[in-house]
Amino acid sequence: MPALRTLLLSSLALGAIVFWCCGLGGEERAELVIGNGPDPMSLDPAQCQSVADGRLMAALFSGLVTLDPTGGPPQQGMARQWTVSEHGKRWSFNLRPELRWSDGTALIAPDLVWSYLRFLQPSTGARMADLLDCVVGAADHRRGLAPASAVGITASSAHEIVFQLREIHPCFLTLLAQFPLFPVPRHVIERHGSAWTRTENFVSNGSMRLVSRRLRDSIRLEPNPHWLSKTPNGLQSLEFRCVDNPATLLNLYVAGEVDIAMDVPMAAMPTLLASPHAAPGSELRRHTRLGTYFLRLNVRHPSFENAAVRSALALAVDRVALTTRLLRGGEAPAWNFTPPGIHCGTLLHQAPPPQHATLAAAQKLLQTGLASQGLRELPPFELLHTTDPLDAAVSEWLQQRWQEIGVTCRAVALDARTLRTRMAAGDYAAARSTWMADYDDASNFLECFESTSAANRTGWISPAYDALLREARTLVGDDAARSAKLREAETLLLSAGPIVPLFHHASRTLVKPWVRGFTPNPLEWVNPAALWVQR
Amino acid sequence: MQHLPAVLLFVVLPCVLLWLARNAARRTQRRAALLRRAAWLPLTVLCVHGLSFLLIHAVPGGPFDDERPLPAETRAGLEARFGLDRPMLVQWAAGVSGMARGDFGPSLAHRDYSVSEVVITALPPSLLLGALALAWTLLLGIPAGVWAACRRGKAADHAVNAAIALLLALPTFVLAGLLMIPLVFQWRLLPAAGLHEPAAVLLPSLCLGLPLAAQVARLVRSGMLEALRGEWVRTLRAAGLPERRVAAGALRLAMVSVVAFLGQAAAAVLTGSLVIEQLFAIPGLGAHFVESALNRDFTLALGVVILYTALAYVLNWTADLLLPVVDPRAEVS
Repeated sequence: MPALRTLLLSSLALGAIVFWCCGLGGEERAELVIGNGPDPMSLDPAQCQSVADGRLMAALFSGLVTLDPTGGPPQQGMARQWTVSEHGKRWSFNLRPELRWSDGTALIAPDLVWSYLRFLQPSTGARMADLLDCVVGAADHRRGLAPASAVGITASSAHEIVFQLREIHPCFLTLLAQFPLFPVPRHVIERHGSAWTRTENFVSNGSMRLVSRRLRDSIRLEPNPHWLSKTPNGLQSLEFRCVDNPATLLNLYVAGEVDIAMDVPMAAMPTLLASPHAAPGSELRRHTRLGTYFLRLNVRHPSFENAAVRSALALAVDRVALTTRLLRGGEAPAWNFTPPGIHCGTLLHQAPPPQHATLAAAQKLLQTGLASQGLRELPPFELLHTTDPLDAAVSEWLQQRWQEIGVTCRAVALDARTLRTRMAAGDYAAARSTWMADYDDASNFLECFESTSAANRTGWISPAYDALLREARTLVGDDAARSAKLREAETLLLSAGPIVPLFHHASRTLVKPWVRGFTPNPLEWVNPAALWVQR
Repeated sequence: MQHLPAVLLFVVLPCVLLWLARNAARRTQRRAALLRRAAWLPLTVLCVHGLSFLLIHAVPGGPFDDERPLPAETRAGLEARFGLDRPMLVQWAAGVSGMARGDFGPSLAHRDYSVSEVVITALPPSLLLGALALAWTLLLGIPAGVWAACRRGKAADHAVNAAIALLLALPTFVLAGLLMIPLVFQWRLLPAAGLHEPAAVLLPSLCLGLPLAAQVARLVRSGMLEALRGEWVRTLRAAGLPERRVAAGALRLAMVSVVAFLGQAAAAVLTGSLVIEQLFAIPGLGAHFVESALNRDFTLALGVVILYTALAYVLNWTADLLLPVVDPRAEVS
């Protein structure tokens, strides 16, 4: 059978070449390997959005200021010092004179201005292009209504950049530390265009520089020789493993192939919590994240026109049971939309309602709401959720819980894009949602439900709510007064019931004992320049 | 060096297949039938492209629908950048024209790569995984089937049948978990995931190949049992031919159904497996295939579908070509 023999030999030869092409065994293990989550959409910081992308960007780039992992105020980044005018609308940043890109080119203020203007241009595709809307002329320039010269970002000298704000922003410094605003190299982009993110062209200004990138596999970095200071204790190589599946990430961690696993599957938590890994100060690090998992109720849907009905559904949910019996991953039960510990949000949290009375109270409230609509029972409705196992479990749990007060809902699993499209079109009754903080301030959550916000998606419009948030914006600098105003706004939001907060997200990270300098924080941010290995 | 996978994919592989086809065609004297079949490939690809284009654009949601809504101007800018603001017919025509040139455009979800680059990067791991899975399939499936057929009704036969039933019933992720516990975590023989060392490919390929090996074993066993019932076997035995030679003859007949099955199996494993790729963090095509659809990465989804179509077509064609080699009675229609 010569043909079979030929086929076999050809296959073997081809297999051998493919084996070689896959680059197996080509690289040594990096000194520190971080199991980071999905592959970034791009290495252009403007186009990144996820928390996992942010960790990589923080290694490659540095902003004007950097976040403090311990939760303190932002620290020096590219700027060595800054001043703010008396009225709080003019910020002036003095850059370090020794700033260099990773190719050795000097980094000066005009480059930064160019980078911020590029961020605003629609063709860049910056997902959070509205982050700088507080700057004079930025929103108009973004919309094509004003020239670049009208934007209030200017370089007053080679080492000074000035921001002119339209209104005082509560967290302007924190905003500048966000990874989408990290500077990009003008000289490289002008030479290579969109190909600047290719490994061979890539230039950054952070503590590490790019060495290699394997799509959906790994991104390898080494210290940037032009960085301001050497990385502590000489971390010679750092690898981000791009792993979508948390179960695989856990396998890699247990097998010792990654040193930090940034996510742990929910199903493994009971086992991990019962193991020595969970002891205080040991490998499992848990802390609350600035993020809330909640339901949106469409107030334009016939089932949810009445606020009492919406409130009854919210009241019937036993969040403590949800977090302790179903989730068990350290999530905090949520009675508020703003998470605990967030800046200007700490006063908002109320004591949990007594569990024994909730079902009866919910039933009574539901009947009152239905009676005012002339109904005897709530028509069955659909609860939309994604195909994620967590969503499915929570939706089933809610179905059962609401059944106890005589409410029937059908959980419908959709892929995430279809779900978002239906929510944006108002084509739903109830749907799961989640909001993760862009920055540490309660307004970042509450502004989602302003009448004009595209993130609202519930059809709920309240001029009173909008007015409260507007007033809060005028109180920047007076945290007590601002918190009170935000508290009033949140109370209004929760009593109107377009949302049902369920739980605040928790971070579950596994860190090997030899990794030093890892500081967990509510934004799940990692400062790679502070990491080192001591085996 | 970086173009080597592309050269392999688009030059070496088609050359090997064409050479095999030519030989087989010459031998079977059915070149005309083969050429006729080859001519259908472009039309098939065009139809699949059109249908996939319609389906993917009919699904609700777009590539820029995120939890945090994009500013309207940014969305418009992105749509203009990726040509999604043009009429559908123009987009389709541009897609067909690009396909003819081998250019599927930029990926919408992997913005630093073109679709061709994504495919070229992801295909070698999938090919490697698939080729080894096929090797496991043949290496384990054929001997198991022969062994069971030659010991019909005995303990060995029952054991093979039980193993076949078990392997076909177990979902791949369960099988992978069962194999990982001893091989990865207890004895530390193999890495848990990734393709960072040669040994890393053994376990995922085994998990992918074992269910197929079970199917091959079943096909070989039943094919051999049927062949061994033939009158020619009695003649051979009466002529004093050793049992080994008789079994070899029966195996050749049993291989007809195996070769027919291998065409589909090769197309299935060579184009990747989502479950295995996700479990073992292998950057192959299977995950791109599913994720491009979920992410509404229109260009990548179309590119991968077209590649799958062409591969399935060529591999099935190759299986049909090999059939007359194994069984001269078979004809290429």
